[in-house]
Amino acid sequence: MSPRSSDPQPPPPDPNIWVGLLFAAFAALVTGCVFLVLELSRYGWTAAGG
Amino acid sequence: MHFVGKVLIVVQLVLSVCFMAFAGAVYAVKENWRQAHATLSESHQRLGQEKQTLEQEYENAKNKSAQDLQTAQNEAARLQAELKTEQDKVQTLTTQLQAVRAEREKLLAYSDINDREAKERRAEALEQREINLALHADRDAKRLKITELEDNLFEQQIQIAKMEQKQDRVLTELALWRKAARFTGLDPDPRQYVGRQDPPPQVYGKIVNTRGGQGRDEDYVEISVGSDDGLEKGHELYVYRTGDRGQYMGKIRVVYLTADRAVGVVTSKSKTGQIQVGDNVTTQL
Repeated sequence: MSPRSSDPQPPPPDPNIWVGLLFAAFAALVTGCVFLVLELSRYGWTAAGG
Repeated sequence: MHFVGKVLIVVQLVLSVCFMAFAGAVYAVKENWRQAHATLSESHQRLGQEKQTLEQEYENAKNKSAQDLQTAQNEAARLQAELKTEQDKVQTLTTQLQAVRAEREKLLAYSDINDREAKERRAEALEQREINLALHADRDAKRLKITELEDNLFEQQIQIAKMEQKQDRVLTELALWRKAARFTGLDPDPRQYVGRQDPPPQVYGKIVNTRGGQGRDEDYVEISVGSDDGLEKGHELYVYRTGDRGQYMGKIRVVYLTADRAVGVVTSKSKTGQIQVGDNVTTQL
């Protein structure tokens, strides 16, 4: 634990461009996963336990 | 933010985008291998069935071809046997043909001989026909002569029959006359009367022809009785005409005789008429 933990909590940083890029990267990963699932569904793939 | 964090964020973003693009491309473009597998499997199964069918058909065709081949071989063997038989027949017929040809040559030679013989016989037949025609003509002439001779013979036989009848009648009359002569006291021997004129018998006839009276010295008449009736040359006959009343026409003397005719010369004439055809004559009035 850093010593600044005992300091009063600073205000959360404002979202900036990098956060937006992270969201965009997340959205791209989700979209890619959806495409993979759709492709696997063509071969009769089902989720484990599903 | 640290510079490295920024670089990692950018790298993460780039890789995420690449992952999304790659996944989308795979989803959009990539061929469905399962579907292709199913299609190919179905095609393989169908081709396998077709292969089995074709193999069955091939087997059937093979069996049928084998049967046909066997049948053809049997037929070929049969035809071979028939060919052998036909060849034997041909051989036999060839032998027979040669024999027939030899026989034909022989018959042709006989035919030539027969032709020559026929020509000779024809010529001989023509000669015989001419001789036959001459013999026929001679036979016809002789047959005609035989017919004439038979006619003459028949006439002679008739004459002989008549003569025999006449002879019988004469012999009967001769017997009666001899009997009558004995009853009347006359000599029945005819030699006692040789050289004496016989009295005319009782005959009746007619004048059938007259000639003369026109500047001739003697008149002749022909009468319908002759030697068969008993007349002789020198006998005298009276001429008379019948009618309402009998008329004496004259007297004639026989000068010529045949069997049934006689010619007489008029020795006396009646002054009341001329002797004509149809007047009666008799030896006794």
